[in-house]
Amino acid sequence: MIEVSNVSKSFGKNAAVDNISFTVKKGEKLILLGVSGCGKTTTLKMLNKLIDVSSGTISIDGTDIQDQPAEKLRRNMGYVLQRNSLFPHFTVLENIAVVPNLLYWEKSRIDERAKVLLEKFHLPQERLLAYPKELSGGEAQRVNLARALAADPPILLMDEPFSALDTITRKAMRNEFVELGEFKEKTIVMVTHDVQEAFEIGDRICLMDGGKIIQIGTPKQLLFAPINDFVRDFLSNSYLQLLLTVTRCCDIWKFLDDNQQAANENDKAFSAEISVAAALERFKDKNDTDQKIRMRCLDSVKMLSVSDLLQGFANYKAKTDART
Amino acid sequence: MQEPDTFWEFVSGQWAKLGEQTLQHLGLTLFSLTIAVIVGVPLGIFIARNRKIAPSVLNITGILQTIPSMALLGFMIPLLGIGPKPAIFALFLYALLPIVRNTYIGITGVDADIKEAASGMGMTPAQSLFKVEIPLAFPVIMGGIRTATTINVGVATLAAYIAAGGLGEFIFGGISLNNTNMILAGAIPAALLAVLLDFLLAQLQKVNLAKVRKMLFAFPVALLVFSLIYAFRTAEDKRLLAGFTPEFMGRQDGFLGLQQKYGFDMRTVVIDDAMMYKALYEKKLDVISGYSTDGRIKAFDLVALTDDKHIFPPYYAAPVVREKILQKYPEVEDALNLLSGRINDSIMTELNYKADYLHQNPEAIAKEFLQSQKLWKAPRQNPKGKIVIGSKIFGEQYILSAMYAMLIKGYTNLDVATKTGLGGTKICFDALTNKQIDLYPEYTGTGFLVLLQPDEKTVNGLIKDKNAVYDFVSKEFRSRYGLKWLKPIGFNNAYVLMMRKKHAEELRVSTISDLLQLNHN
Ligand SMILES: Nc1ncnc2c1ncn2[C@@H]1O[C@H](COP(=O)(O)OP(=O)(O)OP(=O)(O)O)[C@@H](O)[C@H]1O
Ligand SMILES: [Mg+2]
Repeated sequence: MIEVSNVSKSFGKNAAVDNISFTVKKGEKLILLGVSGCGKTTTLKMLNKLIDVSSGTISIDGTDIQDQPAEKLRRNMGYVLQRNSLFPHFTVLENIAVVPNLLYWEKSRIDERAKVLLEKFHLPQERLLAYPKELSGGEAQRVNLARALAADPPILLMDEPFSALDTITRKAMRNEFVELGEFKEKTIVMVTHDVQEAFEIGDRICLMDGGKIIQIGTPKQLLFAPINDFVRDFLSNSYLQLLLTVTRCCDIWKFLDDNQQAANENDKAFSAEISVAAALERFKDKNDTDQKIRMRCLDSVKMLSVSDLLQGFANYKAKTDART
Repeated sequence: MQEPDTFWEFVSGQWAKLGEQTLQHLGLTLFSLTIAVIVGVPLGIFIARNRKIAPSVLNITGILQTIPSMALLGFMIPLLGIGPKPAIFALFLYALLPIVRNTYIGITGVDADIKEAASGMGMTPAQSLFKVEIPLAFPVIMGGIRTATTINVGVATLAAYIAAGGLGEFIFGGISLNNTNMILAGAIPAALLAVLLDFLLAQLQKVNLAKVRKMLFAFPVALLVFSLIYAFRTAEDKRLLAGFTPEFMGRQDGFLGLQQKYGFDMRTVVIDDAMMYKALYEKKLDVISGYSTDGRIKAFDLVALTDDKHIFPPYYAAPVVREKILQKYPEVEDALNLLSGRINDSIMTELNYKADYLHQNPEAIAKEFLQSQKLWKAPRQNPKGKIVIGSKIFGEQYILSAMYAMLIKGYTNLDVATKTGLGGTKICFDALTNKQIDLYPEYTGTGFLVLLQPDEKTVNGLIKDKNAVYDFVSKEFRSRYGLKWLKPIGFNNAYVLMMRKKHAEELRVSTISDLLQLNHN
């Protein structure tokens, strides 16, 4: 568990981070969100002592990080930089081996671990001997993530890990990453200025501005209970997309047309625990009105088209809005 | 010295010496380079970590590099003496800037994100330095080492000036003896050495430091071993030490004659004329070659050893005049001969001392001397003609030509123009035969050996006898060139060996034979 209390950081007179407090529970994914220059990177780097706090305390699992040697602390925290920062004179294998080597792992164990990671990140094994300059941007970023995960640290700090990629690769890698077993176990603090990304990945989102925390809460809390106009405005641009992201198919289940075609009970069905946005992504061609997917919520199974989902979502929205 | 016909003949004759000089050259270069790397790379890293002091450190190393090499070598004689030590120290100073600067640029040039990744992964500053920063900065650092190597191979030729050996001995010896083959025998290996070392270092520069750590440690170790061997080879020695100029070393009437006639076998180093008086004075040398009327004999309180076997040819100074002028103005001869017999070795040394060390004006010295001899007269009015006097480009010649000008103006109805500073012997002589000047002071030995260049038999037959040499040059100059040697002035500006006066007295040495006798005991 990470506890940040009353932390400030100023560079000269410029207060980059101004008296912030938050906690991240074990296994939780916290997103630091905000516009450029609001202090996200500074906050993140204070967690692994790349930047020293000006005031306040940070503790990890109950120990103040001031009382721990920086190197020891960092070897137990994966760190992914904002820009690609693989060591150019090391091969992929050597890059992945950096932290395990610092922890004196045996060579066979390191090799084994590197192989597993490459598989997880869908990279061919022969890439192990390649140098960073021989990799594409997407491959490099995968290696970058693999390197951070190499020694299986309980905590992962990520500074805009996908920002250097084009939108399509970025989305694909994000989904890939979220599906990873490694991802699910870890306590993650991730920086982004991409609202959509924050909503997809984060258990909670910490919205910052001018070095201060404006609001911290689950995506739903931010969307449905913004504490001020700043939060509202910040989310308004992609409001509908965010709404589809925070709403699960389960939530709108009873508003969905119960199509009787769901005959064969044994056919594979998607879980309705996914968001409406994610469900819509399952359709290869969103204009094809005949295409349907099977979805299961508890015991019930439905065959749903794009328009079924959108219709159901509209009805759900109208009903909930009427209630408030 | 007989000059071999071709470069290859010279090289094959001097093979052993060439090999030794090349090894010395390599040793000087690599030893100084190794120290420069050992000091420069950590210094560069240090200032990369402490950027505030970087500009001042780089400025200081930059200033060191702008000190002219000769001045730097001169400064170091009192501190480090002569030989390899000061040479290596000077080379070390010159190599420092490119190495420190490139290390600084290389280390600071490593991408900030990469450095952050290294510390973010949990590397200590030392781990980050050795695993990441140095390997990434390596090509830039090697670039600096390559620059330093090229500089050092070049500057190491100057080591010959301070008795540190190297290929400069051939180069500067060849220049002063006007022996092209000798110059090339030094210059070509020096150039090849520079190219070869640069090529080898370029190969090393391409290496990925993260891969071949072992090989890389082998490199400085090999350098160090080589350098140590070199250092031991030139270990200190307590015996008397002689220092001769490259020119003296190559001359029959110099070192070669000393060996043949005296069996000269003292420990000998090669050193530049500008450095050797100082080195002798500072007790870094015990015997040097020089000229008997040099003002520095007085300045440094030295004594010339008697040439008891007469190997150094006589160099009596006398005016050489075109006969046509003497026919036209016979009174000129009488005026010039007024100086004859007036100046002996010690007087000339004294006059040279005033010019070269006290930096008095040659004309003032000339006038003062003539007045003391009651020879000076005010110039006569209304001259009816004009005489042009030439001189070579050093103090003694300036003084003599000034005296002649005053004598002609005072004792004849002629005016005088002076063309001083006509470079060396050849330029003066050509000016005279081409009628651009009418007279200049020349030395019998120079006229004999340099201008007339008689065959070996004639040389050996006459060289011991000053009168025979004078008669020979007088006769030959008159018949060949229509030039007349007037009466000698009196002093003999010949080659001599000299020692510190006190030292010579302590050792009871007054002749060259005494010296060698002592050296054998
Ligand atoms: N080393 C530093 N020295 C001085 N000022 C700094 C330093 N690092 C950050 N700042 C300032 O602190 C503020 C916050 O910077 P920070 O890097 O945390 O922003 P960010 O939210 O990560 O922005 P971005 O999205 O552009 O990466 C900025 O005003 C920045 O100029
Ligand atoms: Mg940032």
